Amino acid sequence: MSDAVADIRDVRAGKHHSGQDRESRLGNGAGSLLLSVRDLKVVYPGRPPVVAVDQVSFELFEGEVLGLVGESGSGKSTVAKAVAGLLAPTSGEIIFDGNSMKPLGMAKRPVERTGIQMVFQDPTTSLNPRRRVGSQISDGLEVAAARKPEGGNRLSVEKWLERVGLSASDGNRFPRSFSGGQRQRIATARALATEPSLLIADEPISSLDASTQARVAGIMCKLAAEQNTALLFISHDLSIVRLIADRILVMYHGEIVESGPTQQVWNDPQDGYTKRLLSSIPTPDGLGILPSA
Amino acid sequence: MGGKRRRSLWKRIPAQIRTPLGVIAVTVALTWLVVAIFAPYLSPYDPVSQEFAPYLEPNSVNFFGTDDIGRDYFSRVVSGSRISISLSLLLVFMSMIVGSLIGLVAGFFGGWIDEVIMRLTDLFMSFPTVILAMIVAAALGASLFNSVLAALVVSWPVYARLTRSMVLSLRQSNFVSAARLMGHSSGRIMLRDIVPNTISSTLIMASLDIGTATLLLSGLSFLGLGAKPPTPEWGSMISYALHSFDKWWLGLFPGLAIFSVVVAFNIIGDLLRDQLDPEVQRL
Ligand SMILES: Nc1ncnc2c1ncn2[C@@H]1O[C@H](COP(=O)(O)OP(=O)(O)OP(=O)(O)O)[C@@H](O)[C@H]1O
Ligand SMILES: [Mg+2]
Repeated sequence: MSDAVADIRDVRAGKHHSGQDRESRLGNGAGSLLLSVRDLKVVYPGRPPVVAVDQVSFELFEGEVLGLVGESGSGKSTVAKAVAGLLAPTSGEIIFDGNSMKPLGMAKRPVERTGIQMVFQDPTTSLNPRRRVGSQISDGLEVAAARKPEGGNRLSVEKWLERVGLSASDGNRFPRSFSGGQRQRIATARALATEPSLLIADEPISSLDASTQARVAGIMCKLAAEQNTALLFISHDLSIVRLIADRILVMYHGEIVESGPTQQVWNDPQDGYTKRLLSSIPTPDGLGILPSA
Repeated sequence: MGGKRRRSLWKRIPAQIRTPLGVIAVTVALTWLVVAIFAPYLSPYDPVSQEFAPYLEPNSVNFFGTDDIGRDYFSRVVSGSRISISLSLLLVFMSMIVGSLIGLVAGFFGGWIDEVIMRLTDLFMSFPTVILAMIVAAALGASLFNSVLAALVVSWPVYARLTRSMVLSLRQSNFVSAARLMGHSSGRIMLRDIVPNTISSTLIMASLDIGTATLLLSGLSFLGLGAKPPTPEWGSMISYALHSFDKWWLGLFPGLAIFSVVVAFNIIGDLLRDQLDPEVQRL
């Protein structure tokens, strides 16, 4: 487990360069704002209607890793789905790459809007059980080729499998023969093979054991950094998010109660809820999992 | 090597079928399928030519006796399997295609399309099956093919419901969301992500339905709404046997044939039903 933590630290150390690049680019006034969410509100109809997300605003820059933490039911998945366009917001605006994001309907999403990809919470349905995993990863490659035809040499399906720690021959297997962690890595490969500018990872690891969690998070973070993909990493586990995120948002009851650079949120939390979150982590360096507050 | 291969094939058969009852049912069903396929070679005499004395009791030449105009009854029952079983399979196949397509559209597109289709399905299912089929068959005119069409009218809704319920949950699954994010069209998603995941349950449902289809079709023929003489069809043969009730073999053999086909396929279907998702089992 400590190996896994070390892995993530290495990744973070490597990422610092790109982080500095981003700051310098920002300093130069280069437009590297990727995603901007303004006053997002999502109400699920019902009796009574559930206000799952309210007054959520944040920004995400190219290549940045943004952590979104909060307890179960705080609205993290709702934010993720709204950003990806998988559900229509009640009000508010989502601007991705300078364009207002349209929710997905029956019409297919135009290829130039496929720069947002997502890895889902539940590994059991993240892959089509009836198709070989290799062909599912090649779907991702196909998207990359369509969106960036000039994109030069792309990795093969086999190389992608190797990059996420599987072997090249695994492409011929069906999803049922893989473990939960392996499936999430395959789903990550599929998403990243599209060369997205934003990858949303909605608690991709919460159903896995602690060391696998750290491994999957580390791989995801490393690969995203390599192709300058921004990462919106969602978890209820602050101790893991802290290891990979540049900035952290803390959600509570559908609202963002705290945001700031990782070190600041970790060392000097302003909000009472964040303080409670932090104090419930057993040791400052451990991989403790939060009790649901 | 060969032994190992055989064992793995055996293992691939659902566990429920690998029981004495299942094996008997499968044997009977397969026997009937073989008989139906090779009927022309297995029937010793022409099923429609009058070669013998009428009303001969079962004997060593005419195993099942002869009928009122001296046709070999064994040959008629054997040839009848071809008609009854192939029409049942045709009916099941058509119901499966029609019902699944309707259910796919309803479940996938949802909204008012779903509303309308499901109301229609409920309407069809609320009629007593046989009576509705009778009405349709009578309206279309008595013929074998029309009896299949009439039976189709009452058999598709089950498949529509089954498929719709599966599609509703598949549509919400993460791999479908992933496909949408990758810009796949609805058609591609239906073809690659939805349909392949509904096929196995649909096929199980279909195997469950073969017995019922046989019963329904021979019922229509029995009522004079399907096969017409001299076509050897089990339902119409029983119906005809009523005219000479004291000639026991005329009703018994086609009756046993229908009975064994229906029971065998129903047992297979019931055993396979356990393989279905709990949600599907309720349908
Ligand atoms: N489809 C839905 N219909 C009605 N209410 C919903 C729906 N989905 C989520 N909710 C409610 O919205 C709130 C936020 O849910 P959401 O799934 O976004 O939380 P979350 O932070 O992702 O939780 P978790 O960590 O358990 O995944 C919860 O109160 C939940 O009950
Ligand atoms: Mg969630």
